[in-house]
Amino acid sequence: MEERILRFISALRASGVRVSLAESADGLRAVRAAGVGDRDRFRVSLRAALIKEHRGLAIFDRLFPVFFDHAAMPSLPDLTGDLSPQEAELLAEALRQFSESLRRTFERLVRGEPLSDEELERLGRAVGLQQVDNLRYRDWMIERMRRALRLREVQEALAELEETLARLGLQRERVKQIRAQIDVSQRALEGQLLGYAGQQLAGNMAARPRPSDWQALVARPFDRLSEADMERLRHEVRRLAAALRSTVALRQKHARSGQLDAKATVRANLRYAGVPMELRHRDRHLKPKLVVVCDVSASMRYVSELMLSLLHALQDQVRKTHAFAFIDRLEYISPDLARGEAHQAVARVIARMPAGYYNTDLGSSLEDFDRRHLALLDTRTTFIVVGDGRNNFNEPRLDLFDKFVRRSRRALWLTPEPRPLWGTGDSDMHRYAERCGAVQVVTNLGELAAAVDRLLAGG
Amino acid sequence: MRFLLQRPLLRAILSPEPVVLLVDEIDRADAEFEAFLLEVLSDYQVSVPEVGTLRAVHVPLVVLTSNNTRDLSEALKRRCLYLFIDYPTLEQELRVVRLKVPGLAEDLARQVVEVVQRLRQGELRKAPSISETLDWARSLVALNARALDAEMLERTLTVLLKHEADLRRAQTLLAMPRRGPASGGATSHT
Repeated sequence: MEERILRFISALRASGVRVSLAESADGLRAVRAAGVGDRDRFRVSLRAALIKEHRGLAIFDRLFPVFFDHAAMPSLPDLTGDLSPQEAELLAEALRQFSESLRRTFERLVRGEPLSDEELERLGRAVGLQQVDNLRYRDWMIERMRRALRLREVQEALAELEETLARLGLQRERVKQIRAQIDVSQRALEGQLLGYAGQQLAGNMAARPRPSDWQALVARPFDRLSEADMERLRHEVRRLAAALRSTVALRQKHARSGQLDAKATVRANLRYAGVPMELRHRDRHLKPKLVVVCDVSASMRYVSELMLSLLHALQDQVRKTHAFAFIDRLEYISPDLARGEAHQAVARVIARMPAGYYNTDLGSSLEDFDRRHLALLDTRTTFIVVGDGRNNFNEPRLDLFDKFVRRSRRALWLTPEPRPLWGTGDSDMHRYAERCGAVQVVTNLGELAAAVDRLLAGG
Repeated sequence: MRFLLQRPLLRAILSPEPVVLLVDEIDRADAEFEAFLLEVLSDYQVSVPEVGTLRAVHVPLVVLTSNNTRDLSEALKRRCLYLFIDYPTLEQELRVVRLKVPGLAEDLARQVVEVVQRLRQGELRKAPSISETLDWARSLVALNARALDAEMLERTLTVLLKHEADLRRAQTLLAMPRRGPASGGATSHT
C-alpha cells in the first residue's frame, strides 16, 4: 500500500502538482493515523496532506480512482467447487468444443482465477502499454487487452455455451446460474485490467523525463514564445515573483540602513550649529509608488502581460501601482488586474476597445493620461513605460513625455528592441530615450525580472 | 519574562491547558509575520533572543484561514493540512438559513436559497457568499416579507449584490417566471 501511495505521489508530481518530501511523509503519516478501512476518510486525509492549493484538487480527483479504486484483488467466484461431478463433466465437455484460447479464458473465468502479475505484464507488453504515457489512452489500451484475452468472443460464446450445456443435459436453472457467475468473474477481470492499465500509464507518465527547461524558457526572446510557452510562463511567473520578493525583502533587511534622512540629521545636529557631525538614516526602506503604462498591441502583448503579472505579484513590495494599457488610447487596467490574471485582464481591456484595426499611438495615449490622470504622478512615483517606441508615424508628444518625467521621481522605459533598431522605420525610441532617465532593453523574461528587481532596489 | 506582554501567540504556546489557536486571514498579514509563524508551526516554540526559547507545554491545535487574496509561501503551506471550503449545496445552505434565521418562513427560505444558488451560476463580479444570504434572509424578516415577488426582489437585491454591474446582470438572470405566491409571472426590468 505504501508503495502504491508513493507511485500515486509521483504521478501527481508528473501532472504538475508540487508535492514536497515533507508533504509526502505527512501523507503517509496521515494514512497511518486515519487508517485505510474507510475509503472516504483515506481519500480526504491523503488529500489534506498532499494538496496545498486549489489547482491541485482537480488533478487529485482525477488520479485518485486510477490508483485506489481496487483496494484488493477482485475476488472471483470459483465455480468448480459449486458443481456436482456430472455437471463438471458436462461443462468440460462443452468447453472442449471451443478453440484453445477461448477455452483457456473460459476455464479461468470458471475457476475464478484472477490474472497474475506476470500475465498482466505480458499482456501489457503485448499491447504496447510501456510506450504510452498519457492517461487519455487508458480506455483504448484496456480495449486492446480485452481483445488479447478474447473477452469479446467469450461474451458471444456464452450464449453458445448455454445452448451446449442445455443440450448435454444440464438443467436450465443451473445453466442460468453458471452464466451469471461467469459474468461476475468477467467483470472482476476487467476491473483488474482497468487498475493495472491505469497504474502502468501513470507510472510511465511519472518516469517520463521532466519537460525541459525552465531556464531555456526564461531566456527565450519574447518574439519567439509560442502560446504553449506563454501558458507555462504564466503559471511560473508567480514563483519568479515570490523569489524576487524574498530577494528584495532580504536586501532591505540586510542593508545597513535606509536612505539618509535629511530632517532627522538636521535636527540631531542643531547642537553642532547645523554642521552634520552625525548622520541619521531612515530605519525603514520606503516603498515606491508606480505608474505603469503598457503597450498591448499584438507585438508587445506578451511582454506587457508578463510585466503586469510580475508587478501584481509583487504588490506588497510596492506602496501602490496604477497600471494602464494602451494601443491608440489609454485604458485603466488596475481594477481588472485585481480581479483575475493578467492575461484575462489584458483580454478584457482589448475587448472593451472599439473594434477595428488600429496602430499604436503613444502620443495620443499620453494625451489621455495628461487629461485624466496627471495627478497620479508626484515626487514619490516612478513612471514606467513598457513599449517599443514605435508610433506608426503618429505625433510622439515628446513635450508631454518630458512633463511626466519631470513630475515623477524617476522614469524608466522597458523596450524589447535592442539599441541598434532604435530610430529605424517608425520608431521614436531614440527620441524618447534622450528624455528618459533610464532605458532598459528586455528581450526575455529573465531580463524583465532583473529590471524589476533593479527597479525595486533603487530609490 | 516579567516584561513580556503575552499576546495570543505566546499565550497559546505557554498555556497550561490544551488550546485552539486561530490565525484569521493570514493572507492579509505580511511576509515577515508568515516567516515568524514558521517556527511556531513546525516546532511549537518561540525564540526570544533575550529570554531564550519558550516551548509549548501542550501542542495547540492551530487553524489558519485565508481568503486567497495572495499566495501564501510554500514553507507555510507545507506545515499545514489544506481544506478548501467551497460554496454549499442547496440543501446545506438551506439548513444554514433555517438555523441562523429561524424567523423566515419555510418556503420563503427555500426560494431565497434557490435564487442565491442561481445567481452563483451566472458570471458575477462577486458571487454572493453565505453571510450575504443570511443578511438577505434577515432583511426579508425585518421587512415582514410574505413572498419573494418582483417588487421585494428589487428592493432587497442590494443586500446580496454589491456591484452595479452585478445588479444589472442579476436582473437578466432572474427575469424568468418565478414560482411563488402573489405577483406571479415574469416582470422585465429595464
